[in-house]
Amino acid sequence: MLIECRNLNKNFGSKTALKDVSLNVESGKIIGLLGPNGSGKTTLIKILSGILTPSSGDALISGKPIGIETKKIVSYLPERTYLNEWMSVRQAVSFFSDFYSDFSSETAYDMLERLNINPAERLKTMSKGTREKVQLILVMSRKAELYLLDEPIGGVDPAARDYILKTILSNYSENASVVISTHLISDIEHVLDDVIFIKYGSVTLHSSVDEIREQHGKSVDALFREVFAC
Amino acid sequence: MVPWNFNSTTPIYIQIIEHIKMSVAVGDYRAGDKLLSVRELAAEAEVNPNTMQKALSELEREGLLYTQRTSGRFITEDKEVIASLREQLAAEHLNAFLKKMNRLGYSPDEAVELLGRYISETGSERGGK
Amino acid sequence: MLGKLIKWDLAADWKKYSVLYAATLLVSVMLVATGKIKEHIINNRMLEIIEVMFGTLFMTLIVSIVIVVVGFTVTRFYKNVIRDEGYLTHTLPVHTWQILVSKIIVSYIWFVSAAIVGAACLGIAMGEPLWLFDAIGDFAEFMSEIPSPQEKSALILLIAIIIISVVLSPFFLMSHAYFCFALGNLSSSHKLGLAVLAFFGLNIAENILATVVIGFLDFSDVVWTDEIIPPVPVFGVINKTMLTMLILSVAVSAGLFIAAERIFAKKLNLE
Repeated sequence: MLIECRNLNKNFGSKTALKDVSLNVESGKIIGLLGPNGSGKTTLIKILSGILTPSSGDALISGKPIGIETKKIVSYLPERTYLNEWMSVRQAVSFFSDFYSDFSSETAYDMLERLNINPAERLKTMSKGTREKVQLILVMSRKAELYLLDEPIGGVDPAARDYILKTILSNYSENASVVISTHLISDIEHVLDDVIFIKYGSVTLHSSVDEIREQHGKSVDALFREVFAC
Repeated sequence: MVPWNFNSTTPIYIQIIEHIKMSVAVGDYRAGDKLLSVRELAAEAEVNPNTMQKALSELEREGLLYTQRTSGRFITEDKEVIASLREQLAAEHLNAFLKKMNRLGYSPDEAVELLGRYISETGSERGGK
Repeated sequence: MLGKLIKWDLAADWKKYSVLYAATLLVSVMLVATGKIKEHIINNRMLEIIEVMFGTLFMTLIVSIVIVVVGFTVTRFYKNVIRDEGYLTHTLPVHTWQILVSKIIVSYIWFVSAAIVGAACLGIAMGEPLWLFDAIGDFAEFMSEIPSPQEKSALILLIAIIIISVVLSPFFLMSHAYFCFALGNLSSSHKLGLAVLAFFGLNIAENILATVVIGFLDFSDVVWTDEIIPPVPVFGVINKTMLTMLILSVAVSAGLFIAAERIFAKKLNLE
């Protein structure tokens, strides 16, 4: 089992972000973590990536508690720019190469070329969209066991969106899983194996896309709109 | 090449199965042709490789595909299987046609008559084999 | 991994420091040059003004060089550990203590280099580049002329305490800063504000602590000099006080550093 969450709770003061979340996720899957803003998706991802510690409960990745050993096998793409802005693209690649043994500079440079990004350019002078692409490229150039992508297609144009999904698909391996948190479901539904619905900090559904379509006779996107109707 | 086009209500693996069957029936895949790998097909169709795998396994079960352990997946060499597939798909379309015509108020005989007339009037304009 | 962290922490700011050092060096040289030119062209109003200009610039740079270094290192820590870059820093496969140790080592490198550059520039501006070595030589001579071995050893102890305190002062400052940032990080909305508040609070608490501890010191064995009237307790008191303060500072700073590491390791709360 790649991810095991047992009774995860996370409170920020009086606000409950995650309520008794228990989940199991296997390797070799592409999973959509779906829910409206503030539902707890980002909190869950932050806990799995090691950025946040739960208030109670535990999480294991490949049987290990969250820590330096899991950080070696987890590739995390947050929703914000987390690269050092003073770096050039080339330096950012070198940085990732230094710290992650599963990182492939070749793959990174290949993707950068494909997207017409100049490696000598400084991150500070790039547009936000280009910076996000660079981050995604760096994250996907690792051969990690778990990819945690927090809203990877949100602020990106449709062409780049397709490229991102194609990259995720071509990176697919039975030894790894990709967790994509998003609220743009119809765009990614066809690449997902399973989906997890999360509402007000609780998991309300964990099923495969095919099962949902068979049982409910509608797309996950349509079901989502029903379940989360305002 | 039949383009990959998925609707949002039917399970994707079922739509993949239909797509491949159609490709075989129209001749884009011929008897004995080698298929791309699961990954490549999934990337081409822009779907999850597990979903593609599920569809291919199902088609293998039905006898349309077979796997040779070291060389990959192939369309069946059995021309009869392909021929009966064509008939099966044709039957599905005919069934759908008759159902729709029925809803419009035409009996099967009337539908056949309308069809015959339509063909003779527009024959050369339609694409045909 | 620690080496790599150090390498990248250095790479982050080396350009800023190079510019600062180069500017200070340049101004020192310009100051001396102007002085030399003045020796040949006397009573030139323009030259007087230029010399004053460089002189002022020089004083400003020398005085602010330490403040600037503090500013750069603290800012780097804040951006890299608490703000958005923290998402990268804290997901690297490294231990939290390695992150903090790397930052302290790098701040040391900058503080020491700033001291060296400052001393060199001072020397250049005064026209005596090796002034520091001369000063040390003079002091050694002075030491050898002190008759009383008691006073000599007391003075040596005092000098040692002062040197150690100066050498450890970046560690003291940084451990306080890291702890305050760690505390600030616990708040959800006012991270920086809480950190600043913590810094002031910490200073007050430490002053109180120091006063209390010194109150417990035993000064009964202090040596009173009788060479000046009224007799003044000199080295004994000073040494005892300063040694106590030094030990206290080391203990408190070490405690703060460890506390900061624990907070970042277990209670990380990035925005």
